[in-house]
Amino acid sequence: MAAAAPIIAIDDEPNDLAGLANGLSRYGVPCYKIHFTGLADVQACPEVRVIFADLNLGAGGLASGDFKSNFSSIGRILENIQPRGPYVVFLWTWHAARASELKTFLGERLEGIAKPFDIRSVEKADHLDGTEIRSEQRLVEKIASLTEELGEAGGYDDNYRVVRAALAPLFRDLEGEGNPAARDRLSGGASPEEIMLRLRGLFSAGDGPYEEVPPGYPTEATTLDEWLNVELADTVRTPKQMLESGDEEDLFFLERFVNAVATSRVASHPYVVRDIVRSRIEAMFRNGMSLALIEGPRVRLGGESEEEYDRWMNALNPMFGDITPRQFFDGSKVKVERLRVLASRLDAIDDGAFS
Amino acid sequence: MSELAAAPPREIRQPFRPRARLLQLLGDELIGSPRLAVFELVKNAYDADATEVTVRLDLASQDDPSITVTDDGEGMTLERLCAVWLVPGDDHRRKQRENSQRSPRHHRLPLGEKGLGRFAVHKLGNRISLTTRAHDSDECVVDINWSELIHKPYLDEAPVRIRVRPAEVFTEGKTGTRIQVRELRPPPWSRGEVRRLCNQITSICSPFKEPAEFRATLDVPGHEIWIEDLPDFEAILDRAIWKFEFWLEDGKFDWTYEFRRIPGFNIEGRPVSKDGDKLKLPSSSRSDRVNGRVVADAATTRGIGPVLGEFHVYDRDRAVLQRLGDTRLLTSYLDEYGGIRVYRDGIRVYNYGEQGDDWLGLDLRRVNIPTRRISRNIILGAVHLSLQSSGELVEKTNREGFVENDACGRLQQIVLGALGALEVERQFDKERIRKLTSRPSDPTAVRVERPIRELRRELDRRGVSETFEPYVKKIEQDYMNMQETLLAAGMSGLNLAVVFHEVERGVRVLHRTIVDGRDMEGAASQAQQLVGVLDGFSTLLRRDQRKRHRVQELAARAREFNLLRLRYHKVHLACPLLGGDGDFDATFALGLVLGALNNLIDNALYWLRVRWPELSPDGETSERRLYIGASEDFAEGPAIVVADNGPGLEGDVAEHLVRPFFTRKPDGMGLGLYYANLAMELSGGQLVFPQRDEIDISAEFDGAVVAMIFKRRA
Repeated sequence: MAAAAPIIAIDDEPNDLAGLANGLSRYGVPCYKIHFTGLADVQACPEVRVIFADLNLGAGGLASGDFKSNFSSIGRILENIQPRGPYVVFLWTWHAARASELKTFLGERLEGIAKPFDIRSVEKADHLDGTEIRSEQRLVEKIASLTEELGEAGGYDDNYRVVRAALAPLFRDLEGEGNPAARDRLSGGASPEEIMLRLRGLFSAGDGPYEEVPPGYPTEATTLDEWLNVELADTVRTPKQMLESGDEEDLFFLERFVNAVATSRVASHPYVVRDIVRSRIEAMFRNGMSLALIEGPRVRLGGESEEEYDRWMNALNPMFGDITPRQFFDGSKVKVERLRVLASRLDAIDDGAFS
Repeated sequence: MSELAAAPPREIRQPFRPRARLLQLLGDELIGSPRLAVFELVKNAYDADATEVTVRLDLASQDDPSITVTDDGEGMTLERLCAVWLVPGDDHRRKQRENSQRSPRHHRLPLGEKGLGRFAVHKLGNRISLTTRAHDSDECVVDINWSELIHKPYLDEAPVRIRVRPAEVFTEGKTGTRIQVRELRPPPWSRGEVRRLCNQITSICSPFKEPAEFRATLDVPGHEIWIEDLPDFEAILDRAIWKFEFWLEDGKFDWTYEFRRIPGFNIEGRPVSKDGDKLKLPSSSRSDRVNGRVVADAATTRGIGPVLGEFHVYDRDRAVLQRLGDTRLLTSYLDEYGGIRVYRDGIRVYNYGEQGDDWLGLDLRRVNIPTRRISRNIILGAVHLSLQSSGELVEKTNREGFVENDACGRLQQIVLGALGALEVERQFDKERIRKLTSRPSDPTAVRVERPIRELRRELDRRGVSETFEPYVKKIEQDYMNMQETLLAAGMSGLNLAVVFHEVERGVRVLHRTIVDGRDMEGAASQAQQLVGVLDGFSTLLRRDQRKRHRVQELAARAREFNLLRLRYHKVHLACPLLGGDGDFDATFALGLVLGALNNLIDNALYWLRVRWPELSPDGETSERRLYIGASEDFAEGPAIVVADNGPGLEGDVAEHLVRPFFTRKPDGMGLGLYYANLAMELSGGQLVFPQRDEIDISAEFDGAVVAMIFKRRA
């Protein structure tokens, strides 16, 4: 399931790793944690958009003094991750000044994969107090500001767009758009037991016709919405099996969807559509399709004005066929039926209907 | 329709009209200090082909002190005065230099190129009187009152009066130029300032290697006593314990090293010299290694020309200083004048080697390894360049060194590389001194608490705790963890005290930088570097459990770690172990031993590039070969052998190789083999350096051979 992770963090210091990942998760950005020991290859995560990596990943460390062996380790990890689309590396490190050297090193030596379009540093010195994060708010603000720096540097190009999309919940929260209730229900940094409790709570908290689950869904949940059901249908194991397996990847996968569900239920729903559209646009971009094919929903990933947003919400566009994005909603909630329509339209896009 | 009638097109020509105050700006803004202004005038005397220049600082008259710079150069005719001296930005010197047009008497190339240096005179005082006489000409006198001149609106409205008269100053056929400055500007010329000026003037010419026929002297009538006890430079040089000279031309590096006997120490002096050596280049933030090379070649000195250098290095350890006598004189001289200067055609390039300038980053690099690295306050050095062949090195107008271009970066690498060669030899003699002067050190007795406490106090006092505290805390925690973990593992015999001492010294160096307070940015880098030293040991501190592993797995992991570098440097890896050939199992902590193997590969990758700097013409292949295989040739147990076809271990014995902070790599910390040795010991094995004939290995691997021997199964 790591394959689906848009954000991963790699560190050989478990405390530093947990501090970063938990901070992100609590701001709605699930982060797949890789505790790097050097004893096994990091598996492929082709969907990744943001990689947080410690520079000194052990195994001889800095004994050579010139960081080249550390750069080599990171380079090989990236080759194993096999990112398919644009991605950025944020060094999570005590040696922030090495970012440009690492960029040059990787620029010259990575083979067979895309190179990170940029490398920036988040200094551990600024955010760690011993083994604890001093302020999660400050940490995520730093990440957000680095992301904006990328935008400025690249003229707010597609690279920036996909990174910002991956970190979207963080920006929502920082911009005061997020709903605190949503954040409270996120499971970032929780133990497996806590995740299980929260999932059970979510699955049993049905509230109306929008969340009917088809019969036969093999979990104890009875109120998981269909969209989530469809997504989970691709998995080999049921949520319950995943939950009980204790497997780190399964839990991570579930955690992502807990976050998604929590957000979609409690937060304001226009963002659900926008997120779906955004993820699809990103997929199209990754697959080499032209973004110009989508005429209507020129989503600017949270950057549009109210007027712009209203305009495209109320306009017909080829992607949604004969209904406007607005018609997906009933008040602040998403209509499941309409989501089906959206899903079919998106599938059509995947099948090349607009290419 | 507009009410304004359309004006017919027209064209006017208007030249720039500089304000008269432009001259003041040139003097004030371009030159940093009055002392540098004097230096500019002395340089002009050199360009005027003078043999002697005298700077007279007449402070006896309290009401009207003056500075007079007099040379015996070629002087100026009226025509020259008008066409050159009075024309800011005149480029005739630059043209002379470009055309290699040398002066008639001393065959010099001109140092000046921008035609602005003389305006620095404004920095010194308000009234200027220039008297000059060329051969077979009348004497010309120019009087300038800057206050009057710059109050004119425009430069073209501020004529300068020139008097032409029969010779009064330069009589009897003498030629030359005299500039007298009156109504001096601050600073007041105190004893300290005058002493500094004196040193500055005398260091204009290389005291290491004077240019032919050029002397600059300072007179301070009435205050001779101020400068008469200035330390004699020659005498100071004589007290250096180490002397190193080098010559680099077209990639050929010749050097001589001398360790001089210290009075009262029973250690013989030790001279070493090498011709046709390879200069190992450190990496540089300003200029990457030329074509990624780790050794100098002809391209390294392109636009710089041959480089001649000499370093005189001192030892400030108390035990050594005591035997040299007059310690205070020496240490205060080194504090004020220590560093490496640059000379072109024997004339100093400012501000290299001045107090406050650390153009080579000597102090920063020292924090990692205080004992081995040479800091500015223990070296008097000079780098000599030829003006004619160093065309890519362009001096900044403000006299703060060369323009920071690629050639300037390469010059830094060259000097640091040469310094590295000196440091390699010096560490052998330092070790001999250490053995005589220090008591055996117990690692448990080395304590970092006090230096850390003092550092924190200073950080608090300066209000920078917030910036530095994370580093200090990390250094403290890592140090304590390392001490606790390694001592608990019974590792006291492995030079641990040296490592602990070095970190402790690093904290003290950082403390001193903070106390000094001049370079807080440098201090932050020092703190980061110290964290880096301790980071190198991080895997030792959380080593995984010792259990049985196949060494094939170990080799596979190591290859994975280094694949990008092996690929990039076109290193042919022969690793039969990857296919299971000779595979064996042994009990060890995989992470720890993997770190050791990675360090051996890291070493090999560097030394292969030293011996084989070139790739094939198409850049696709190289002669670089690395072997990682199993061996049963050792009685102690099965081993992994790492061998290469690099230059070999240069005769270094195992005792040196595994000693912490010993390295021959210019960027190395000297911890790689130390770490590898420690890791093997912690795993019950050992690291050895066998002769090639002791093991069964293909003849193509004729460089270094290192074996990681594992404990044999009971």
